[in-house]
Amino acid sequence: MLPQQFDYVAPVTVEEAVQALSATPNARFLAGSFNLLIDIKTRRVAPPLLVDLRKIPALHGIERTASGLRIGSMTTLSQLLEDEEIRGTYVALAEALEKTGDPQIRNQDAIGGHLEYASPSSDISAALVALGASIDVTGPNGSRAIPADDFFTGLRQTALAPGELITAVTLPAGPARSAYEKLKHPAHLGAICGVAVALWLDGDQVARCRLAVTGATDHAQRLPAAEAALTGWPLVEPRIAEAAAHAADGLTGISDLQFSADYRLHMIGVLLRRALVHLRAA
Amino acid sequence: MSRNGQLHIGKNIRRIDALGKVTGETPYPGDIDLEGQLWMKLRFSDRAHARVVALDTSAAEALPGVVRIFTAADVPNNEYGLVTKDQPVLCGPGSRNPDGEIVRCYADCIAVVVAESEAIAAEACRLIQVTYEDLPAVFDPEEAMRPDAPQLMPRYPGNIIARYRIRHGDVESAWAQADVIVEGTYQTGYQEHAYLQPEAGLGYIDEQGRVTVLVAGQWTHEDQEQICHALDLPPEQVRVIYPAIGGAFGGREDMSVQIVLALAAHALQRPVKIIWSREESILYHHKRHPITIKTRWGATRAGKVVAVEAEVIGDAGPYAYTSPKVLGNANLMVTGPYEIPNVRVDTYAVATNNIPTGAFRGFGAPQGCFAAEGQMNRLAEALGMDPIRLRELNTIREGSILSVGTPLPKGVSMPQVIEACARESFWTRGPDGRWEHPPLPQPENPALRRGIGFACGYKNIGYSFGFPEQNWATVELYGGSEIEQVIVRQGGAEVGQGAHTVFVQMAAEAVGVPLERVQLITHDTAETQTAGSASASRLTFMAGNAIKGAAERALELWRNEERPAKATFQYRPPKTTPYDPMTGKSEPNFAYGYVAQAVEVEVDIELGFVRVLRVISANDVGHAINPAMIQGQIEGAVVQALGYAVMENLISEQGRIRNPHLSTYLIPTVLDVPIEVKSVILEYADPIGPWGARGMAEMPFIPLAPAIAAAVHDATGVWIDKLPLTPDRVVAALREQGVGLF
Repeated sequence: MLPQQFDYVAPVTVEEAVQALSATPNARFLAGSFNLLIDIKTRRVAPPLLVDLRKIPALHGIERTASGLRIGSMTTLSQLLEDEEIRGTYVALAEALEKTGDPQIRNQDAIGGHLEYASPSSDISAALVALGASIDVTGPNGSRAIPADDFFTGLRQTALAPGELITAVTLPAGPARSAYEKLKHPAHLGAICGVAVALWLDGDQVARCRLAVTGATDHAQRLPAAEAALTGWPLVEPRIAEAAAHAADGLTGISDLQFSADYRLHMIGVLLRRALVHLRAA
Repeated sequence: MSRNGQLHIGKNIRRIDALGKVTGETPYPGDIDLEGQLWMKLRFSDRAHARVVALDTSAAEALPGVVRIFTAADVPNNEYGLVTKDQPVLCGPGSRNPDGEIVRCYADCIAVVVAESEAIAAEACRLIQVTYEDLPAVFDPEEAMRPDAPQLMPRYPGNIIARYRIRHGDVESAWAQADVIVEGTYQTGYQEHAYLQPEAGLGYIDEQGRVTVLVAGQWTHEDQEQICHALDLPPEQVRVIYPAIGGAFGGREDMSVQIVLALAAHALQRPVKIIWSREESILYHHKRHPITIKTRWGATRAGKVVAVEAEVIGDAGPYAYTSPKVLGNANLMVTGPYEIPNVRVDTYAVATNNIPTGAFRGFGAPQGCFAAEGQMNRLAEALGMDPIRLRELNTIREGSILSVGTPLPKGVSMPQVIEACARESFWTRGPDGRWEHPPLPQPENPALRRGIGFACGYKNIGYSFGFPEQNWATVELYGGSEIEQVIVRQGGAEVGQGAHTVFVQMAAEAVGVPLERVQLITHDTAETQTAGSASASRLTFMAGNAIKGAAERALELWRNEERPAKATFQYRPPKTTPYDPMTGKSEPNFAYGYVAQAVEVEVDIELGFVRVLRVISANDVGHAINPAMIQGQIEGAVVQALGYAVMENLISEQGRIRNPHLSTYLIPTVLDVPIEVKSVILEYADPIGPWGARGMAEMPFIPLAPAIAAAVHDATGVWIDKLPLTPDRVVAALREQGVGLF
């Protein structure tokens, strides 16, 4: 199928981009163009205007900040994966990146566009929630930072207000240990279920932890029951089993034709357990 | 020269169609265009069961570029079908055949649009306004059998399209001899053929004024017959030609685009082309039958099976297609390759408003085998007996009497095939004669469990149960003092299995000339006589005998100095007979192929994924005409059956297929192929096969699913009796039995 006709602009500043988008109803930002162009070609959407973000220097690059990392929203997943600090300190994110799609997809997919698309099978969304990232956005009414915990709100739904542009993702200081476990869909390679784990340790005790799921639920979110089961205890088998057993408590699963909600919810515990056993051994 | 002095058979001759296919030079139906051609698109039903009360084509006809819209009123004889002509070509008002205005499934076609372009035809299809009056529908075959169920067609009272009974021995008193009884309910799913080439074709008027259809099918003369019937034309006015065929597996046995292309080309006297999308292909051609088998097997402590009873219910969809034959075969196969003295089987092909089901590699045998071999493996467990030993005690052998009360045709090799498979896989025969196998090494990861499983089966070669069976070949010898050219006319379809290469090998062998002197004329009703279909693993056997017969006669003429020397021969195998309606007594088949398979699987007991690591497939092919192609058939069948067993989950809801795409209907890719598929090719000659050859194309499909189910049980301790063994289903079954790591 051929896309319907659309106009195209490529501004060089964030302000121009936000303005251009606001001026045309139903206009869309074009980031890595991985998901959006498919949707346009298959006529799921027909935006009259595409605002290309690729020429905005402020959206590119990874910066070290006092407390962590600031990732420009146009950074591709491949670029992220090459970053030594991400590989060394934010292991859950690196593992989620490695398990996202294939090299062609990672070369194309920009982190900002990826988050805005809010696919339920996204791998990095769970990692960002677990690592306590926040999403910097700029819109017609100014700029704000949205914690990743609050960013994903439902099936392909986010906390972005109309006209808001994701400018960066900021990561706080890294946890002691982190990991991402995934069950990959055999056809589209997304997560049937993915679990990200970040642990802050005090000696051998889990002082704090952040656990997040993707794929099994309609949006990436924390696993509060499992977090409670681990916090304040050493990372030992009975606690791991307890956390896994309660991992899906209170969650509503999603299904597709091949993988039921029951199955996916059960996988949360399976993958959480695998991640924790792996981290304990590390 | 190979053994027995043979020149060409038994050799890995390169396929005669290989170069053209791999270079892309060989045209498939969708690749062919004719000047001035129009495009066709079909409008299918939007309902599972409804009366089409009105059809408004005015908006569609008003669309610029629309040439003609055909509806039921335009079809001279509005019915078709391979076994029974019970389906309207087009459903809607004005049908000349009774009840032709009723759609009975989503695969029923309502209108044919012909336009100047494909896009215009598609747009016009959408503009056709159909008014339906809904009728009560039924989607579950057991519900369809109840007396209060909606009745789909007067010709199928009680929604029974076909039923069979086998009453052999005395089952009731036999249970008393059984020390062990195992019961099971086995359910199998739909399977989509997923051939590489979706349906496509071109209808036109040839230089002699014949309505001609270029299409991919499995039997040119049957396509021709069905076109003639629907269009009310004599055979000499209809011609069917197959260009290259991109796979078939039974999925092209029934009509798809043949009749509508002929209808449009005949009416418009212009070329008309159609290409189905993958989605249309999955939605609108028939599928493998989901079958539910409830069965009970009894054996003595010594391991002799003394009684079997089974109820076999197959979902046929609303029309016969080949369902009566498929369920007839399942009826025979459900007792496995065993000589069992007391058998009671009741089998039903039931009409529902689901997608029609029909031929697919194995033709009812995979479903029957899944139940029979599942029962044998459970019996082995219950008796504490090795599964190989149990099979040896019960296998059919030369002279065995089948459940239908008659002996098997000569050349039964089941015992040898079982033994070869066991030896070539995991088993050895110990000093005391018992079969044993060493414990399987297990992976370090406790979530991964490996297991092995075994199953065997057999299947008919050629048509069964009295269906007329024949194959015609003509051999023409040209030259003076020596034979310089051999022309073979043989219509058997090359669906990708390698038939044409084998025909040439057999013709060259029979005449005694180099391969390059043989030219094959085929795939054209105007050039050959009927060959029967590329199905039932029959073409090597049937065409081989016909080519051999024609060659022998042509050679005799040649020796009598006739130039050219031409002979035509019709091969007819020994007669078969239909089931007796009360007892099932019959002579069902004239030849069989035998197969046994052993598999090793690795089950992730937490994720539920079953990885098939190794398959050892032992097949008696009688005589391997082309061993490399046989290996290809074994490997292809194994991968296709692996998909059937653990992946392919076609989902139908209220008669509607929900996953008509290869992104949602998951078939094996190269990543799913086992590490090792070992083809063990055995050659126990069939007494009436050409050079002893048996058919073999379906056999390696048949026992794989039950062998995998047995291996999953060996790995996990859990029996799963519902196919496919998807991760979801495996996890649910394991959790129910408390198997898992948490």
